[in-house]
Amino acid sequence: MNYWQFRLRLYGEYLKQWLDSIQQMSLAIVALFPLALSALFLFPFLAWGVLVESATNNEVWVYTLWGYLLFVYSWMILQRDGILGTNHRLYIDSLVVSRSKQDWCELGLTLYGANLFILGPLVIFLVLFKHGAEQVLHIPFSYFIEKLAPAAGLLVLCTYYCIAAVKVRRLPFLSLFILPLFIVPWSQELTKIQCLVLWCAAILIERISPLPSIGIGSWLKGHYRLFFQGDIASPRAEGLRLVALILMLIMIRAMFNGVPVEVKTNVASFLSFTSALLMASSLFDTQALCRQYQYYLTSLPVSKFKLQIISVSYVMIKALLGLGLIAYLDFFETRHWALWSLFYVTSLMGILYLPKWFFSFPIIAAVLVFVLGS
Amino acid sequence: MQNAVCNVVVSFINRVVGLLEFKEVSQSYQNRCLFSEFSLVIDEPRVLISGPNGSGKTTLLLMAAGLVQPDSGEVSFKQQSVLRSDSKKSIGISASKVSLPGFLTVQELLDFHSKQFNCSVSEKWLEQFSLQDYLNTKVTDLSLGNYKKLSLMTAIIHQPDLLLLDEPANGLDEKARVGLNLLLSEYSGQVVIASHEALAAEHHQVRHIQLQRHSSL
Repeated sequence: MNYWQFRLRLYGEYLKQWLDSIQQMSLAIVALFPLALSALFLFPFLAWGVLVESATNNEVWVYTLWGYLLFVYSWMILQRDGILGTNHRLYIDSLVVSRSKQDWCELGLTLYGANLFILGPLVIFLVLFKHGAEQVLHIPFSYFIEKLAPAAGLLVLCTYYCIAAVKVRRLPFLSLFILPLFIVPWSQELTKIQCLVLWCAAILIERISPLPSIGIGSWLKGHYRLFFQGDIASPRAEGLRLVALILMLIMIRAMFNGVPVEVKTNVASFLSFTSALLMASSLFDTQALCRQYQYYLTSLPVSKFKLQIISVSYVMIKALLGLGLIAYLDFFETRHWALWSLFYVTSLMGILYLPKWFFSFPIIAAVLVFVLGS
Repeated sequence: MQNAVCNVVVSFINRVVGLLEFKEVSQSYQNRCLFSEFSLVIDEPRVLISGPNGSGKTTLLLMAAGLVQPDSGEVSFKQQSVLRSDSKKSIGISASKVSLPGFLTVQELLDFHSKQFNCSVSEKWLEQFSLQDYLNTKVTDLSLGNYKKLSLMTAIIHQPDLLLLDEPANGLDEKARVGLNLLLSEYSGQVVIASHEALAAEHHQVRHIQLQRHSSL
């Protein structure tokens, strides 16, 4: 077994364990959303058509690009420990292998892990380039650039985020979370090239500027502080939840374009159901933390009931971020907010009283609303 | 002389009140019976529980702390069920099974813990266990010995009337062992220890309880 095969084996083992743990952790969610999951995995492939077409509506294009890059980045983040062999790092470093060989191996594994997400844009870019190059003598050069820019931008950004997810510890908050939110309202005023330049500038700024240190301070106390620090120490679950919510919002927002109002209302109702379920599922993580430190938390003079109240209120406070995002992107009317509250509360009750079948509570609520409404 | 009088008075009060009591406790673990209608009254200030691996020493401590509810029977301290949350103020436990939140730093954990019990962190014990240099270290990054010291700190921070220690000397260096012995000698409350090692508790009468496998005493 040579070095490459060894690293590939470590990567494979990591993915296997990761898939096993996902299967165990989210059995209920996977059981509930088999179609949604397939749709999520199909999303990148459907996105290519929108992203490389220079005539695409700018707002739809920005949303789709954001969704695609966020998805690819998250996908690579999930594989980072496998690609870097984090669990066996000390052993890997003890081997007589040059740093450059290690780097090449890790780059190879990154491309292997990203596979179609990079290969797709690369092939499309090459095809467009070849097609454009044949016509370059007959069309203005600026037109050639304008035609090619979306595909080139997608390839460059996608490649960057794949490598950054593995090699750069710092999260791309500016370019992947804040910038797209602010670029969307201005997307019709900007050209695609301008949007891409802004995106690259945001990447540059977040890479060279020092990371602002945001301390928790002393305002958060007691169990709330404990739960919050637990989330900060293991941000993967909450991060995935946030990314899933953003992706869901992006896809629906992109879909809203040119759709009749009555369809929008129904889609918003569906969104109120899925987002409430997704955000309420955060209670599973808080409960898992309580289980992990069960003996320690029980040894404190805080009753089980009070701990449960604190857990639920903590999860509700966390949901405010998602709610803020939904409000900012202007998805809901008053009735949708009421529906969201109903589905959220019933989901929490389901998780508290019937965790394995927690989704039956909001489903019953949804059926009742549908029956009473009709 | 003064110490001896105090000990006699404390022992008398303990005997009248009846400190830690197991009343017909039964407990099984993974289809194996650890305790069957087990009754015991512990009113001595220092108690050493020993026994072979798997005899239920740690489980006994966890039940005494109210962290494990017995399948049947009742465990009480000062005639109050240990399962009540207000009982926790009178009980402190250090055991490897009681894992501390590894994502906090030592300072953060001590702050959190002391606020829960409305008390302050004792500089004396911090120094005795040489933990000052590790205040900014994450709990998960502590060595076994330092983790043990921190666990002992969390158990005694609120000066509980009942202190439960599971293998307290495991992993401790010489200085910390001296500190532990000092703690056992000076501690004013009742101390129950599960250990393979002998207990150094000067000025105190030590009751030795030997557990056997299959839950017999």
